[in-house]
Amino acid sequence: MNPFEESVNAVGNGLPLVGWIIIVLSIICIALIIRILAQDPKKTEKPFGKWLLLLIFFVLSPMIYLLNFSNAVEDSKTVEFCNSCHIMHGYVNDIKDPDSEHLASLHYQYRWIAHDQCFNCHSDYGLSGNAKAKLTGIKHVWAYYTGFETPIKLYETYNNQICLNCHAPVAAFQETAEHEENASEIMSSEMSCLGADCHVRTHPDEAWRDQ
Amino acid sequence: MSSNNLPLSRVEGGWTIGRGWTRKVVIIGGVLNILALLLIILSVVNFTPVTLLASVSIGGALMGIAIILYVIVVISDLRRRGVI
Repeated sequence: MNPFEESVNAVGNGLPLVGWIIIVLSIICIALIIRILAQDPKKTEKPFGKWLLLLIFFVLSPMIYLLNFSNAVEDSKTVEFCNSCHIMHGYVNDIKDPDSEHLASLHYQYRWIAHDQCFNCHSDYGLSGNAKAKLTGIKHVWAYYTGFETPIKLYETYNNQICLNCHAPVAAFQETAEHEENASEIMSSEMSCLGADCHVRTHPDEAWRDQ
Repeated sequence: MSSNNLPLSRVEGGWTIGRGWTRKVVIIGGVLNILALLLIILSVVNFTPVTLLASVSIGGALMGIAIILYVIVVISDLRRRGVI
């Protein structure tokens, strides 16, 4: 790996601070629950034990869950996370291949998208877009363990707004004759940016085989 | 069987958990909470789609059940003492 890339990747390596906070708080809660429940039932019925359990059940545990949830939502956007499923290996290998000229690879190689490249191109914008992308991800995992059809394909037509969010304000995009002629169809996703005679080959066709 | 050993007993104001069952319910809640926390720790240490889904869905469900059980215990305790 290139030393520059190594230095960038090193920043995100290791367990983040929030990860350590979740682990430490969880261990404290587990230890307290065991301690309270293992002691003499008469002592458990003392107000202090009850209040402590109340604090653990209603405050600390839900707080740990929410911390883990928000941390997980953020961390599951990374390319490395997508690559943790075997079916994605071919796609991620291709985007990291300096000789690849596929659309996704160019976006990754030139850092046209700075971070979380898979997630950025496969989620709609806005809060509902994030939630929808996560639900689709759960569907993918379910499909993976219950048997999926190959080659894998998108569940629905690609939303052009994802491309337009970055490209639409760019003069070179606006001045391209094909874009000007089909502006309304492109914006409504009636005409897809991908496929036909436009921007073909986003990923290698056989990428799913490389597991 | 004494009334203390019955899962539910009637008091003024409604039903409560039998005295003997209160501790059992708290222990079940505690064990479920511990399992949920262990799933969360696992997903932090070994962050993969499966551990993440397990911690968020199964962990969340276990924690939810634990909270409901403790709410039942608290309400029963308050009813037995005649607070509510």
